[in-house]
Amino acid sequence: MSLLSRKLIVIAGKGGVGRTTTAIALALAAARQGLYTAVLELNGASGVPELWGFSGRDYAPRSLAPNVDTISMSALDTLDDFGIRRLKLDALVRVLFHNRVMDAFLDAVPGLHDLIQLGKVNSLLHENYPQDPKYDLIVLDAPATGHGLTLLGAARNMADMTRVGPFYEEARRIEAILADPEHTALVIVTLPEELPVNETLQLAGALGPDQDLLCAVVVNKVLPNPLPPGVAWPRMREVLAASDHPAVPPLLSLADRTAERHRDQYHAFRRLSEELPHVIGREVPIGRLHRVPHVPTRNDLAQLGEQLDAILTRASPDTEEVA
Amino acid sequence: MTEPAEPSTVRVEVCCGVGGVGKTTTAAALAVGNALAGHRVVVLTIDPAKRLADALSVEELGNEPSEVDLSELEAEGAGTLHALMLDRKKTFDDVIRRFTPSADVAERLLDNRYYRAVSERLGGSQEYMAMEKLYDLVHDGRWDVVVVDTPPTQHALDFFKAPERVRRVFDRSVLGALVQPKRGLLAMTTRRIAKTAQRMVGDRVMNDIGEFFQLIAGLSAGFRDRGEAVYGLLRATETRYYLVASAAAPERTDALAFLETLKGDGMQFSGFVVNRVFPDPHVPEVHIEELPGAPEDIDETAWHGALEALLHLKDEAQETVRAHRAAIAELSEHVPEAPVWQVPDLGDGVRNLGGLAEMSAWLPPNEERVVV
Repeated sequence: MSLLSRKLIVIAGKGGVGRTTTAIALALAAARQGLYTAVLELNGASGVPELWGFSGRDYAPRSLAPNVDTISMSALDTLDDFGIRRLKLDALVRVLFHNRVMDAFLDAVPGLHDLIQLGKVNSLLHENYPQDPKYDLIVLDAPATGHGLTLLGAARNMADMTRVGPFYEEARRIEAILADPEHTALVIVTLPEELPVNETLQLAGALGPDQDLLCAVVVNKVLPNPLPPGVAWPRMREVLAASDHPAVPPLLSLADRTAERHRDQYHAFRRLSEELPHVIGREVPIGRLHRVPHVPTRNDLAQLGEQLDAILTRASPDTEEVA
Repeated sequence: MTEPAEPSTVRVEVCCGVGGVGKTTTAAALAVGNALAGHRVVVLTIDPAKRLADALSVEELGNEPSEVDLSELEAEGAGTLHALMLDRKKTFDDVIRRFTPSADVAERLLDNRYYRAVSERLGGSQEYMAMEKLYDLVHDGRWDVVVVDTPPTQHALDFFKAPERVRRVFDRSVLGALVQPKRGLLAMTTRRIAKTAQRMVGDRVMNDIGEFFQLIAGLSAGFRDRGEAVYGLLRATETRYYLVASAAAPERTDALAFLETLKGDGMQFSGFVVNRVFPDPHVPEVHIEELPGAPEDIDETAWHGALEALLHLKDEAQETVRAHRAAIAELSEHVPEAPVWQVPDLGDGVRNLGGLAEMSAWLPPNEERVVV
């Protein structure tokens, strides 16, 4: 079953690894295959619009490209919806939900913010309210806290805590879609470095019941081997070192550094691909996104989307040689 | 025997910033640097990666400070270094035990389902407990420098804002009225809200919350005073803040919001720490034909391609250098007087205590210098 046949893809990973970049690239790739896709951020995050060059955040969908929207929701945005759709409070919503006491109450229930936002995600995908766009796929850029995984547990915790009532029912509905590997996929983003790879392996091991959701690991910011095939760096270095051009010594040390970085990357990548199947108990595709030397532009993001598209449509897992 | 430090003279250094910029490593390196400068230092880390815990050579970094052996650095005149890792649940439980009148009430509170959910999962409890722990460390008397790492968040400001959510839970005047209404005193709207709340979460949760409020009614006045003392500590002149950023993605908007708040609240900004700055390779102008031609054992076209690739590497490096410089300039544009501590890209990260010492050379208390 392919990644893009799911309805919801959760992009997890530690801060700074490029979750947002990956989320946009994935959405662009999905749109190329004809899926009407939304990249969604929670808790009022605005990483997507910032990368795309939009100002501020907006709960209303904004178009990034044909077939790709971005939405930034907050608990407050989705609260009224929850009152109207789940509690049938229609006329009362404004009086009840915009009150200091109610506000304090809603703020004081752990996991509630996550729950009502996920409820809206569920509603966007499955309830077809006439005023909502009808997405084929939602790519969720998970919050940085706890690698974005606290989100997956939010519904379970809420169901455990309440046992009855509308929150319980909402939690059960959300749990049903989040726990279903045919519906929801988890993609972990990491970097080709020792530390992030270690953390990814730990994270994969700690997934527990959510292990089945893990569909792919994306290794971001991969430095491609700069040398064309047929030239080995040590030999090239030897030949160049004989030159007395003043540019040669700094060029050599730059290339040495790059080669070293490349080697580290190779080892990190190999460790990930060797150990991940043991941790998860099955093969998990590992994709690679190339590094860009600056904050990615729209053009870079589109190219990263093409890279992902190529990886996703390839039958076998990514096996391109790194070293 | 050294004199115990007076709380008012203890220097506090707080590393703020969004997640993923190297805050924890920066805090550890700042601590090592201060210890090397002769201070008695403790560093409070939040969820350090295993390798960093190893670098601080603390087997299982616990919720209580343990000493880091600095002898391998062979530094003359070094002070001492302790490290600990925040355990929010344990810290919260300790606070409850300290401010509850009887052990029995404390145990019942610690056992209360609602309390457990708040202490383990409510957004902001980690930040709140980091502040609590910081207060303890400052008043311990064993240290004259306390370095604090902050939880990974979306915005640097969350460190100050997030605890508010937990504090409000303990403010009985608002929520307490909902679950323990005094008969007749409840206004119509509040009554309706209480009913809706009950409908939403069910009886069990409302009962848990009700019991929670009964139990915290016994929290001593010390609990509230403590909150005010922590508030004061965060604004003390001896408490300084660094904004840690990564050279590749400096989060300028976030930084500006952070600086505004510090200024408005009278907190001391100590400067930026910009991690992973790419050093300029300083390659003079060079054309491909000035470089050696293909040796006999390498195909001419392949050789030419390899030289082009090498020059492309140079162009890319220069582009990265330019991008990092521009990002740093943009960051400091709004507080030109604030120092910018630039830490060069140290490759595959900091591996051990020696690595932290190496990184600390780029940080205070050393002189600010620029990666070249």
